[in-house]
Amino acid sequence: MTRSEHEVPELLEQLSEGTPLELDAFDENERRQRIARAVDERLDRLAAARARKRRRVFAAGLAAAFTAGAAAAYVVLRPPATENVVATVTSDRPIEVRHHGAAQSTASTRLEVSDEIHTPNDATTTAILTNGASVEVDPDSTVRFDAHVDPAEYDGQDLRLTQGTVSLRVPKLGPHRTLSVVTPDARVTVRGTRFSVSVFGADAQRETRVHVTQGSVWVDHAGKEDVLSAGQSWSSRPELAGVTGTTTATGSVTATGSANAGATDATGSAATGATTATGSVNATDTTSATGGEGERGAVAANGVGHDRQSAAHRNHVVARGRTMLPGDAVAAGSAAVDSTAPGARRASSGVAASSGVTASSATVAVEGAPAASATHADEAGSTLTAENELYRRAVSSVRGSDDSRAVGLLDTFLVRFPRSPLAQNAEVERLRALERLGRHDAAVHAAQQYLSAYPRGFASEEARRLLAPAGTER
Amino acid sequence: LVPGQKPPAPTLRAEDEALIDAIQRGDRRLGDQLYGRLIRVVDATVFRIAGRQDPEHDDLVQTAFEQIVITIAEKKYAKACSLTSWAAAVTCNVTLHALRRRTAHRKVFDRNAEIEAAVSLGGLDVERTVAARRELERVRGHLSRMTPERAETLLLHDMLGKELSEIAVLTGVSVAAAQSRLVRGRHELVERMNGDGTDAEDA
Repeated sequence: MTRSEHEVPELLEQLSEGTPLELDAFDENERRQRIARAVDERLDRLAAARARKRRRVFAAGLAAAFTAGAAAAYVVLRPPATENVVATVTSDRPIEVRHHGAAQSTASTRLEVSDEIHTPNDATTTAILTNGASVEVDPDSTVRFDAHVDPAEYDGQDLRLTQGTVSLRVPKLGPHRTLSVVTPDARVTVRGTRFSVSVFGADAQRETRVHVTQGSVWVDHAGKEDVLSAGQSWSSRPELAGVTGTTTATGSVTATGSANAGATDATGSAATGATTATGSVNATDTTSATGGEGERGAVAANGVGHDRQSAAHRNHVVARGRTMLPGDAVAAGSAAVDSTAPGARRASSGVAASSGVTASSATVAVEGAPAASATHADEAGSTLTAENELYRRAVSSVRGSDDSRAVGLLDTFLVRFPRSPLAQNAEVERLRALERLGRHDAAVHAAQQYLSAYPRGFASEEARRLLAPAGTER
Repeated sequence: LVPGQKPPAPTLRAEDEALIDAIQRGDRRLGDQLYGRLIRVVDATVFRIAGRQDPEHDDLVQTAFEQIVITIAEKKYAKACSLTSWAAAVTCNVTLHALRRRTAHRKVFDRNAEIEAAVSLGGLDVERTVAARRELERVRGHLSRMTPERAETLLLHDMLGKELSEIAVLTGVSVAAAQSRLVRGRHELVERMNGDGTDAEDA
């Protein structure tokens, strides 16, 4: 039998025909009680579930309130923010730490900006800076940890050393990051090296000494900037340090057997007389020191004007392992070096004698130095002239096919003026010169440095070709 | 009724509203009152869908009551229809669910076997009556196998006489969707019965 959809309602109505069976009173009452009891039990369970839910909500609210309270308490009572911490110090004995003017004695703590520590006579302290640098503070030293005062230039840290000695081990700090040790009369800036700075005496007798064991540092002193390389030492009072110079010279440097120290470059000083001359130092490549040019030490002294050093003199200095101090030379004059400067007296007299000039760079003998470093004195104020001049001479060397000297000059340029507008050009010229010299590994390293600093520089393709394995060049 | 048209405003009796509010507030000891109010509609719905002699009749009634309480307490009942309509819909759902569960265990056909036994013991009138009942049992069996939404809509409309608008409210769909379910449900039921009849005749 086939049915149609119209029959469905009728069929279903048939299902609903009739009435439910009537229960007798007893059964009906029994069913009523049973179902009513079941409904009541269900209502009880629902009420209990509702109560549990309310308790859970209350507990969640309580937990949220507790969490909020704990967070608020943490904000109020939290320890010093990590971003304010500049160093962590540990000491073998309690040291004095000044935090916002309040002094406390502790053997280990975290230092914030402007905190100062003072080590007693019998304690040595090690401070780990946030940039990874390790600073060992000798006994009876006072150091304050400051942020860099000139953020427009570099992002860095200052250690203000007012007395005592600190020794630093500094990792690579990255571009535009510096670490400086600032003494009352000098600023020593580092970008990855090992060196020590000491301050002796007080007031007029105060002296700052710097010794570099690895890498290089800049020393700003009396308005001038000196670069110290590994093995070199520097003193703000050379007459006290016994290194060289006249009684009025205020800067000196010694080189102690550094293989890469050396070369000379004196680009002039503002000295106006023997009594006001200042000394400074700039380490460059030895190859430039052995070059034959005689146009180095332009030092004005006693109204003599710019002077020239002979190539023979230059070579002689390097060969004897001496360090030249233009400031000393200016002060002493050509003939007075030997007679007035203690350091010069230890030097071979032949050095000065061989110069044959009236206002030559003075020399300081350092025992066992295979190569010596040279000095220069920048003009006070803008470095633009010095940058241009140094770069011009480097390019001249390139054109004169004197790549060794060019590399030395370009090294000097990049150390002294890393942020110069000509820095990129200098790096390119340097890597080209290294390649021409056959120093492929050095050229590759220079290319890597160049690409790191100027990934889209004008010579980036050339640098990449240098980095490409042999045979892959097109 | 035009599909998509808004259903008429519900009319809720005052005592029903008070009862619903009491359940939703969490009041207890409302079982007797709820039983008195809804036993007729629940009993009748179970009877119509499951049949006169359903052995689980009382259990289905109790389950329907508990489900009604739960849906009201959980505020699934939005007072958009009368309490009795809601109770009928919930009972319909519970009973259909029970039928489907039975189908899975073949209990529907076990009952057919019982009917066959009754026929063998009675006369011709009894045979006709039993044949009619057998036909109705087959309908229940097909309903239990149908798409649940279609079967529910079909029962609410064709058996319990609910309007499409009310069914839409009870099942939580639009009137158009309810109408679609109704039409498709009828079609599906006829297809199943025709197929089943052929099979029966062949057998």
